[in-house]
Amino acid sequence: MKGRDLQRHLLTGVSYFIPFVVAGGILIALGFLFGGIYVFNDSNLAAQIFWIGKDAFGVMVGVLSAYIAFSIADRPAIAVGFIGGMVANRIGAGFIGGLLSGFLAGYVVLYLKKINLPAAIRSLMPVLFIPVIGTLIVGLATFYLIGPPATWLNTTFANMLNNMSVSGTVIISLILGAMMAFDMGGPVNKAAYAFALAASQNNNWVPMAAVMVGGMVPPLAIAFAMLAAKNKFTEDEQGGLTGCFIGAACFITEFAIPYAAADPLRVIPSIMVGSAVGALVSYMAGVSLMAPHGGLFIFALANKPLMWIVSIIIGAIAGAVMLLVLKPVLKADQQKKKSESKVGLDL
Amino acid sequence: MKIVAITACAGGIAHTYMAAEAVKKAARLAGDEIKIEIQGAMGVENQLSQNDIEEAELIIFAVNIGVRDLDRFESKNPIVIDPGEFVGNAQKALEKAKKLAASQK
Repeated sequence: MKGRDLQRHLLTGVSYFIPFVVAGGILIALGFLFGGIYVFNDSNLAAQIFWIGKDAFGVMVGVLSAYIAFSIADRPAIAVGFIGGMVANRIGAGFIGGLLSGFLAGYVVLYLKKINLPAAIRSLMPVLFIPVIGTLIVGLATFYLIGPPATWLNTTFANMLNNMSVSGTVIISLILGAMMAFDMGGPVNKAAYAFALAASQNNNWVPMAAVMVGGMVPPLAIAFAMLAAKNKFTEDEQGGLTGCFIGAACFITEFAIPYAAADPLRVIPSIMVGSAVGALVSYMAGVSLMAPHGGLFIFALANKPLMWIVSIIIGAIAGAVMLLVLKPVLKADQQKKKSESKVGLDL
Repeated sequence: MKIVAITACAGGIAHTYMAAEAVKKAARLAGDEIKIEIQGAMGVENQLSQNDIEEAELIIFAVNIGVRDLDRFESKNPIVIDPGEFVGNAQKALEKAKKLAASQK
């Protein structure tokens, strides 16, 4: 069991989990948008949209747990992991509880699979023993062992975020923003995103607004820098200008990667600063965004849509200015040079 | 050299496709024959046949999540490399994969 494996299982779970969060978050926000803040007391169309979103949120911890388990022990682990996650959800252990129940389910099933039954009853393993015994073990362990500490962590985390001092808020928003830009869609970026997701489980959507700003700023900062000074980028790089705008609008930080790969020491610190500034502005302005993905297309779901866009632009300007200061002007022949790392920007 | 690769990442929308593009370019530059299966957010694209897998001299998993239908590779020894390495410097990552494969033989 290596750290790299654990990370791979976790990311597999997250990859199946994201569509549920996105569907749930956006439908709930749309319900509020059309039905007002007491939409849950109505029975109109807006209320139905709200409750569909709630249903998506109802199963998402189960899905996370199911697919972490799936990544560890394949198909037979899905049911065990799913049910373990639903137990975690029911007792308020949230995201953290579901994550732990998923790992537990995966390794329990992996172990059960290794037991050698007599040939006559071997076929009962996947249809009877693993679902029943696996679920019993994982369900009980989630309730008695994982539940209490995970619930405690969950509430402590929520209280910490809700009662944070101003300096604490500044630090957390700067760190979240910088993390989003650091590896542009890699594990550090996903960790910051997971932090915001965990906060959203406790109905605090301020970090989500900030991390989305942090994720949208890097390609936009690079695009701004290219518009301001063409002579600091190769022709290949300039070819990606539209891509950078699209990447920023869709919250796909990865569009910044080719630029960072070509000139990491100048690009990465610049976009980290840009994202940190953007996240700080969003956080301090108290923008909350009840949609965990979607970029520019879901700006109307923010409680302060204009302020949210302003924070993205401020972050991008900050990043672009720093990038322009650091980057030298290229000579004509350098500008023509094909960068080896140019990939996937042909839209 | 006959190479097959699978690319996949957590989001399944960016690194997955960028890595596929990068692997393809690097393999062509090195004069290798390449087939790539993409396991992204839209499902499996360009699925490898069992024949492709059996004939391959090098199997690369450019993934940071679990690979779907792993049982197809039972008798094989895939080299796992983070898709980010291919996006960063595909030629270097391909060299690394070849070296790792050679050292395992």
